[in-house]
Amino acid sequence: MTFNSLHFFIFFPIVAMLYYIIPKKYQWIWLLIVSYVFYLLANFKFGFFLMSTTVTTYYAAIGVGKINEHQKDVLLANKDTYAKEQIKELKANSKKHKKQVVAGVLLINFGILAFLKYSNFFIKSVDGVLGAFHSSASVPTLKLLLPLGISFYTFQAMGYVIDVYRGKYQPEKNLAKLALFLSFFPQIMEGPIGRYNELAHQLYGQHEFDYNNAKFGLQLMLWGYFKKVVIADRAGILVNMVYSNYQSFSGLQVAFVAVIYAVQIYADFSGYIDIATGAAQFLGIRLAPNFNRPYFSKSVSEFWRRWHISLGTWFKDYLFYPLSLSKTGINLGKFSRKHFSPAFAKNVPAFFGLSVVWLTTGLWHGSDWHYVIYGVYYGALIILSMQCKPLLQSLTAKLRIPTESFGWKLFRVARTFSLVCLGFILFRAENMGIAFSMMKSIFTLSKPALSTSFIFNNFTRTDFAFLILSIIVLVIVSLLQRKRNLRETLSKQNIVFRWSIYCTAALSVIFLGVLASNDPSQFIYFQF
Amino acid sequence: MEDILKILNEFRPDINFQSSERLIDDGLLDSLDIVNIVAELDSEFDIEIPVEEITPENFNSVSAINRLVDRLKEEA
Repeated sequence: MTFNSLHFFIFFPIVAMLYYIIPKKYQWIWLLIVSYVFYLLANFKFGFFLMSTTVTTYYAAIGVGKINEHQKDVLLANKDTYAKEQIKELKANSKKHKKQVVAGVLLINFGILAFLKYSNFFIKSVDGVLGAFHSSASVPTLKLLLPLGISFYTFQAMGYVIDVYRGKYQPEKNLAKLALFLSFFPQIMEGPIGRYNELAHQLYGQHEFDYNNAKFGLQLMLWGYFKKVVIADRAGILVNMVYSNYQSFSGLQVAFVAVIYAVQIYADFSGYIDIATGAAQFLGIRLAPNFNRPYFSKSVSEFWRRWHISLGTWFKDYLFYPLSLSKTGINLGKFSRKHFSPAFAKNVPAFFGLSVVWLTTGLWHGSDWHYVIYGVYYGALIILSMQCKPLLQSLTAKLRIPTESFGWKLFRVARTFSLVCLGFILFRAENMGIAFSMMKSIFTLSKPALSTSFIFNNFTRTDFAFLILSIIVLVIVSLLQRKRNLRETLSKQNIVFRWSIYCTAALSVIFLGVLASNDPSQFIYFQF
Repeated sequence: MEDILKILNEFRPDINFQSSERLIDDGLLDSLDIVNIVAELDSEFDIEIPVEEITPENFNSVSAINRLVDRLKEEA
């Protein structure tokens, strides 16, 4: 089931109504049942993978908890007799056992994810190498099922286990409760990737119907649908046309569509997140934020702090810090101090962490070389900007550029947005060859022999006008969000104005949305 | 405290560390700064700041960082 399918418009009202009617102590059980129904309706076989992740995560966390308890008991029983060295040894032993348990569960779950997602990528790469040596041997690809949302729930589950290992909180004792934490229907397909200490108590708690939660939740869902069906799906028609036949379009047209794709993917992904967050809010549950007007960022690293926030913070906490501050990272830093300039050497541990994080970020998005290059592109940009920061700062000071002026900030936002649009070409193109050809077309402002118009049978002038108009609405809303909470501001307006806005938005979704009754357009991030 | 302040100023001379109590919460220090600072603290004080100690509470102010360093020195 997807948020833009007819099933969901029947499913959600029933779920929400019964949620507030049944005794409150059973609310979390109801959420677990409907979450599994929501997920299994997509494909019954997916359930096996979700359940295996749930069970292995549960037992691993319980195992870690038991080791912690044992350590505590021994320390308590011997508090007067143990010497400092003995305490250290006990702690080191416990840590070793906990590490073994966590390593095992990480291996199983990331192993399943890697096998399902990357086997064919590996096979194709091997096949390519064999082909390069003119070998006639060919390795057949595997027919594998990739469960929806597997990258999201696996990351959420592994984050939970690592937090228990780090002693951030106690393990969940109830398997069914943990199952709900990993399957909560608004977020299972595309996130946001939740943290146990922020989300779980809300899921298990008892919730009274709250008019404001219901109102703000529905408003956010409506805005999410507007972004998805009015903006993203309409932009998608244009983007698909140009990406499948880019040679027929001029460099300027390709550049324009690169911008439109940035709008499409933002409207699609953040639209999904708005629907998920709104649905959860209706049920009295607050999900983690995933976007903070990312296209207004002044640097690429700021963009990644404001785009897909829950994935960025996951990578930061569970990959970037452990890697950068690992013995390898620190030793690389020490080695660099001896051989390179201090300005470079001090950044080396971070460079090490960033390199792995961005390679993984690329691979997380998909199993193809263009995704790997997409990750490498951002890693290189961020490392380069870190290294060049002092130089650029002295340059701007020498040139007396007013760095706090609106013009300079606008320039930085435009520069970041251009780099992001270029990155999205690597992301969206079928392969590297097409991506580079499109970039070449943009930079050389190429002109095809026969010019082609954007306007064709499936994309009329009216579609184009609606697309531009809806993007203007999106930009205005984003600008207004900078200073105020729009939903609260709107709720203070008089009833006629408020309902005009609601009705316009709802009617836009119904009449201006690109709706296909039988096959609703998939959300882009489903494939990850 | 003075040693820590010196390290912080070395990495981010643009921040007034003595007056800020929300270095992480207000986004003054990002994850790249934290890695640089932690690596330097580890080497300067001969301690090992574990990843689980990298929390906003431990890095929001100079005094919080100082408390963390003192605690880890004691445990070492």
